[in-house]
Amino acid sequence: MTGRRGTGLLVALCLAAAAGAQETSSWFGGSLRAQESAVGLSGASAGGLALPDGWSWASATSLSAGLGVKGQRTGAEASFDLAALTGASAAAVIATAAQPGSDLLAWGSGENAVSLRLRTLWAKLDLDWAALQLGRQVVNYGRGALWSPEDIFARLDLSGATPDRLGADALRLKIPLGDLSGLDLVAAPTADPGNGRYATRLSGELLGLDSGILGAWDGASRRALAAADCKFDLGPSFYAEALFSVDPASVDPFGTSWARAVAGLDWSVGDFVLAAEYYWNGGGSAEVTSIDPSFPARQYLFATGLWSISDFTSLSLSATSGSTGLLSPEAPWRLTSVFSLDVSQNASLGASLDLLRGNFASMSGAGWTTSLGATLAVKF
Amino acid sequence: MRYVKQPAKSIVAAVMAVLAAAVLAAQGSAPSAEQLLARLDANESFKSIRYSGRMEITIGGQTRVKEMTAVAMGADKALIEFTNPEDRGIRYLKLGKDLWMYFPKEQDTVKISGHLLKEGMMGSDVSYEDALESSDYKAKYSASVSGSDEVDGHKTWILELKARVPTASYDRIVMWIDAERYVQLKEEMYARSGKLLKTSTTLDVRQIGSRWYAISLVMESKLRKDTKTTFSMQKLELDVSLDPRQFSMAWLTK
Repeated sequence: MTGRRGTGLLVALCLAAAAGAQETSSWFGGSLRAQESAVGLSGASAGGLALPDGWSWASATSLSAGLGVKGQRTGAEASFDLAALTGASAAAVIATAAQPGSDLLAWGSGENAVSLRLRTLWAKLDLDWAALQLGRQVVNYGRGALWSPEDIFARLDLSGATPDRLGADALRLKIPLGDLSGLDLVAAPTADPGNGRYATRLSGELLGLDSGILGAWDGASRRALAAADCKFDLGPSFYAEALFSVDPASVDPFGTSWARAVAGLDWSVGDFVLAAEYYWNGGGSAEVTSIDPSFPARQYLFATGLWSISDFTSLSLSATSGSTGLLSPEAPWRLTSVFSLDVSQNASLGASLDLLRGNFASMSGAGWTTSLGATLAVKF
Repeated sequence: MRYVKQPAKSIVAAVMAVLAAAVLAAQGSAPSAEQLLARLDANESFKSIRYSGRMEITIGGQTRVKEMTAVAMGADKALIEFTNPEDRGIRYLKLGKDLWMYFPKEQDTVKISGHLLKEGMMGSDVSYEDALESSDYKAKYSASVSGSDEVDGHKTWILELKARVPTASYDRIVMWIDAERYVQLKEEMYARSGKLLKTSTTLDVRQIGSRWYAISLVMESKLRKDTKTTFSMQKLELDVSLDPRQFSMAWLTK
């Protein structure tokens, strides 16, 4: 469903949805964001290539905008991110756009670039017994703050200070089975439908336990996937999710199986909100480093804290670490701190410090990347 | 925000309350706590409600405005959707004692429970616990009438509620109830230590059909410095026909 023909079809569907709606309401809005950063490199590398040491400037001015229409039984939404970048930000976005399967479009050189991402473009039809949604949409099955093995349709964008889930091109049928439970059927075909990903998920609440189970088929890898998740509250909120993958055509299906799991908790104490998460990436006898290219090692820890200094100011601190041996002295780690000040109803100022030792993708703890940033964001 | 009782119960309560009020008017004496609560319930009860709401959160001289549409059925079911640009599409679903919040951009649903219940709803002085509090005070509080007072030129009865169970949100609640219209004009909420936690003052009362209804109030949290939240309802409709499927997880995430 990618490419011009798919996009054209979806635009037509969105317009049809708008025209077909009997009592429509519509919205238009978004945000404008300007960020200036100083990026310092020392012994850092990317993609196996050594990067030159020293400091450089980077800037990113981005417009995120969307519009939607909603009728009694129909609805449609389209949203995009458009950014103009210079310096290290430009180089990073061009590298991201060049990755296989990336939906990010980028033009320019390593010094200046413009990027465009179609964030959502979907049309929806509400039936009496179900809701059908077609197009690029965020299908969020995850419980985790940073890692979500069960989130098999939403890719994670880690370029910002906080992780951002990206949409998938999919056809989704949601069938309610009661006030709190439902069945979800999702098909995300590719140009060759045999390589697509297809899933069904049953979710609901049982005895205060918010839970779900998922079964899926990943056509590209010819593997069957099964997952389960739950969340419950004992003062602090606890959550866990796990994904198991097996190759049914293999002579030794379970010998080539693998699993990924996350467990975490979050709680608040006074003006502080705290969360911690453990990610286990492995299991079975298969080599799993290619399963999660962003976090290929076996174990990871993530901890974050948010301090609401006042009603309009906050300070967050997040730390991520991991390697094949947890908390190994050679493990890469990342420390991110963001100060935020709401200056008006629609505008906020931010200052950030991002300190990265090594490189998570290459599992190397060598080199430093330091980033100091200032941000102005205006919502409309 | 206050939600409703069961309709049949409401009708009985209304009849009882009208009779009680007539007797009291004839006698000119203070009503009992039960009579006051019954009259208050009758005035505020509805089968369903639909309105557009506006919340002005003022903190240290700065004001943030939140706008929303809301529907509710009975005391236990409510769905709120925020419509102001910064929070557009954020929804809350209340089902009984449970509350869920939906974030449209992330397509994420979070159950508001445990430690989150004490937090202010969208940064306001209204906690999630306040939003979930049932208006069935009899179940959690013992009530008594402690006297009369005058609020903004209206004679009021002072109703004191004392917590009987540990699950009550406040240890003590004092209400000033309009003696003629049977609308709550002022409310104070206290902790077990005796500390004043919150106050609520009614700003505007309108007659809708045969009943009086508070359509605007200001709430102040005494635990926060220099803050207040003004809440007002527009396009208020009572006992409208609503689709019961709106009060479900499927509708919350649609």
